[in-house]
Amino acid sequence: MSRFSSDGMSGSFVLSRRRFLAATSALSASAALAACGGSSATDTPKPAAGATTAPATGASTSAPAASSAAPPAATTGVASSAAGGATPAAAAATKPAAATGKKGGTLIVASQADAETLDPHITTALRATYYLQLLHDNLINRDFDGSFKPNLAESWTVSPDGLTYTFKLRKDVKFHSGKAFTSADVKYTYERWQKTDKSPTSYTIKPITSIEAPDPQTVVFKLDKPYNILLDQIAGSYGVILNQDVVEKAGKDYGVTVADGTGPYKFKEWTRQQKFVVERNPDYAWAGPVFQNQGPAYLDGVEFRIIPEAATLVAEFEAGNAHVTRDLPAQDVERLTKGDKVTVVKFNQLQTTYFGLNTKKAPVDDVIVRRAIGHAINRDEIVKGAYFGLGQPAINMLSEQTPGYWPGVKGIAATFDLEKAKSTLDQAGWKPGAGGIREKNGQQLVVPFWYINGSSTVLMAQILEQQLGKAGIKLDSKPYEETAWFAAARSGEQVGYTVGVFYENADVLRFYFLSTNQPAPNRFGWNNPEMDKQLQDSLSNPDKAAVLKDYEAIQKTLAEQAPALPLIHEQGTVGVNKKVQGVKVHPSRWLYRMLDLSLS
Amino acid sequence: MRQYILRRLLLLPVIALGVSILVFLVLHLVPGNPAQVIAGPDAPPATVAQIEHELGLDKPLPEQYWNYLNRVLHGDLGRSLRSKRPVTSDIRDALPNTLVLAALAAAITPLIAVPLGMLAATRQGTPADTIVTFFSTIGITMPVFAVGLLLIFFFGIRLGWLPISGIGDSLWSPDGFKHAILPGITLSLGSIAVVTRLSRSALLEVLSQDYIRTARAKGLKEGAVILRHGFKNALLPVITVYGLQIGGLLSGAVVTETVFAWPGIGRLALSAIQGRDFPVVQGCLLIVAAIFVLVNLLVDILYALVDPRIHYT
Repeated sequence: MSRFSSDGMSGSFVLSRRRFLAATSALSASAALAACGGSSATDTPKPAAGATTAPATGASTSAPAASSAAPPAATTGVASSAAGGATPAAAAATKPAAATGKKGGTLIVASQADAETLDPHITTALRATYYLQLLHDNLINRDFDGSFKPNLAESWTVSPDGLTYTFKLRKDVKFHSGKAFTSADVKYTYERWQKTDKSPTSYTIKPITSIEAPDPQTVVFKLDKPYNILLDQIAGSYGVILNQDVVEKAGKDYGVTVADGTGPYKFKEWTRQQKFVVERNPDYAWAGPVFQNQGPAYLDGVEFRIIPEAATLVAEFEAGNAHVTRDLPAQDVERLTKGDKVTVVKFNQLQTTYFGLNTKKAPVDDVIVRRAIGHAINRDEIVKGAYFGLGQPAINMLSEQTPGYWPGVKGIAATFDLEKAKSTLDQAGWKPGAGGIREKNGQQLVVPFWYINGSSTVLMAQILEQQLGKAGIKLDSKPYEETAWFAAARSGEQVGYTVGVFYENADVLRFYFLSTNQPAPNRFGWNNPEMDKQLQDSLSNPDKAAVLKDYEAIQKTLAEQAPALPLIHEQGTVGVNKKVQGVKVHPSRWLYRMLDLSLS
Repeated sequence: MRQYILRRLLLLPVIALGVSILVFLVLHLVPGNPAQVIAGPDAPPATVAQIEHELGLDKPLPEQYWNYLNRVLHGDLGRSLRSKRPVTSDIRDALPNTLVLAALAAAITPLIAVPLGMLAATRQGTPADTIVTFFSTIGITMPVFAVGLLLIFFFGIRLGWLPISGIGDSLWSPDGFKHAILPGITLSLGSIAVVTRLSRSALLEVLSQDYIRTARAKGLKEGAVILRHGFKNALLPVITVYGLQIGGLLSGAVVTETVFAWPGIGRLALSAIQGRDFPVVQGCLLIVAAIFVLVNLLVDILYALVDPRIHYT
């Protein structure tokens, strides 16, 4: 070989074993570092799952006596823990003394994705709701326990027939632009929401037939039939109140370069994909009883910094350059909980991740097969192995804290029992065949499993493959990019799949299992006329006891028929820098209006 | 030469057209559409259909493309389907960031790689050669994101010398410069490695030629031999590869930009692809294709300048 070979590999370079090991371990370490991330695979039925606590109109589960006071009489919803009392004084009386927090500082939130628009009527993005709830107020707020409390409305009443909702508005509210808030803005906002052609969420307020503003402090919503989840929509993230003048003047630019609200923070600056900045509204004084701080925010402002790569986001958080984040990868939580500059707050949320089955496609069109899969799944292993312990095993689509949850599913749902899985499949004619996979009539028991690529779902798929394999079921798992999954999972070709969902009450059952909600979100091919009746009844029956009965029957059938196998109620995590005070995480609104936060 | 340049420039719109058709086809063939993304995964089919209609997605493909082409020829790249912002605004904000990063990497690369490669070639077989070759092998094989994350870990967290992500106050400020260091290094490492290896082997090849022996026999000092005769001749293959690397810089920027949250065109395109935001994706790729073509042209011209034997017709 000539001395001047041009391949560069001649000479004295020797690849010793040591060098090889060093290089490969460095490579795999860095690959492992970068392997975290991936978006959270969840449905966001923020509009539809607005179903209230099973008893209608603002009653909290903590005060059932008060709410069932008189079904025929008008129910007043102020501080619903008090039975009546429609004055602001009464509302204020339920609040502890004014909380204190150090004024000043800008809270930096590290976020993996940006919102696309600040127009609440054309978005379904979770990220947008974080921004909207700082810039705006609603007529009513959702308290930590799920009940409704005053915000821009001091009080409200619902007519006995459930067709008329009357809100009395505060007089002291101003928009950031200076204009006084009146009922005209409410009427304008909700009519715009209903009329916006391409609104993905307007169907949630379709039952409203008219909105009247008889005087500047009164708004009346009229329906043609009772709608138990109206208050949920009004208190919801997209039900915020807009400034009619600003919206009309901005036209196409509303939500793009212009936004005006009454909220505790004012829109300051938005550099897409980089940062979103809001500053304190010094005039804010109408927070309502959900929050301790009844005045302007303690923080000078809030800045959302967009960092798409999870590892980089964790790095910034650990270094103290970001104070708060919602996007911690599960595998970093333990380590960060013990950090010296940071900690992690874990909180229970109304969430369920489940194994969905298309009841129209073989082999899962057979309830025996579906239940056998359920019996083969060891949920504890999944919680530990895929979610690092951050959650509870789930056997009901609803988590325990959900109003309307029926504990009776415990005896009925297909829980872990490997022997039962094997014996029921044997009896149904699925005999073990080649490679340990069961067969019947020449068909192998193969279940395709489509999931959105993410750190936890990849692990979950592996664990499920093993678990189902022990029962002789072959799980054929396939990862998808998020948007591609949403297209594939509604195609009708899906057989098995997994996704998670956040909800605020039991109406999520109607969201998923109403037969007319096919092909999505009813990806189960589920068509049960009896359940359709119960679901529709739950939506419009003013009798709370009847609604509870409906939900009970629905949960029973779902547990028996198993179109969905709940897997885990994921626990939420928020990374918090120790400098941040006053953190109280809402089960469905995260840090909500950030009124009680301060920096030490 | 002038005619040659003119002809190459005339090719640009043809290439742009080809790129736009290809991108259009691929985007529409990929599962998932922007209406679904906007409506959310669980919207009723009626809502999705309405949004599709609003966005003109229910028209036949050739008609959609024709409408798009018409608008582009009038200078309108359309509006983002998600944010409704004009695509030109998004690109105008993002492009300088990527160009700065790529320019930084493109400038650093020859300044480091060529001397290193020459060093290794002239000291072939010595420890210096071994070290250079070893590190350039690692540089070629290590994925960009791995390099980026390691740099973040050491310089950002452990030592705390440099900022971890983002662009700082603004691109042209001292703060912005500090923020550009880590992503700039990350982006350039791959091409530095390749160009180093190539410089080394090109120079080795040249140094074995007869005219080098003649130069030495003439009594020229070794330094002059290498620099005046060796270097210039070794440059040709290096320039070729370097030109190809520049294209790689533009695409490698996607990963670097994601890791460092650097708000450039790569990240813009990636986010738009995930959201099936067709106008933004098409706008980004058109611009990138145009830059690629122009840079290649420049490299070819440089080629001709360096080697008088090369003559374009």
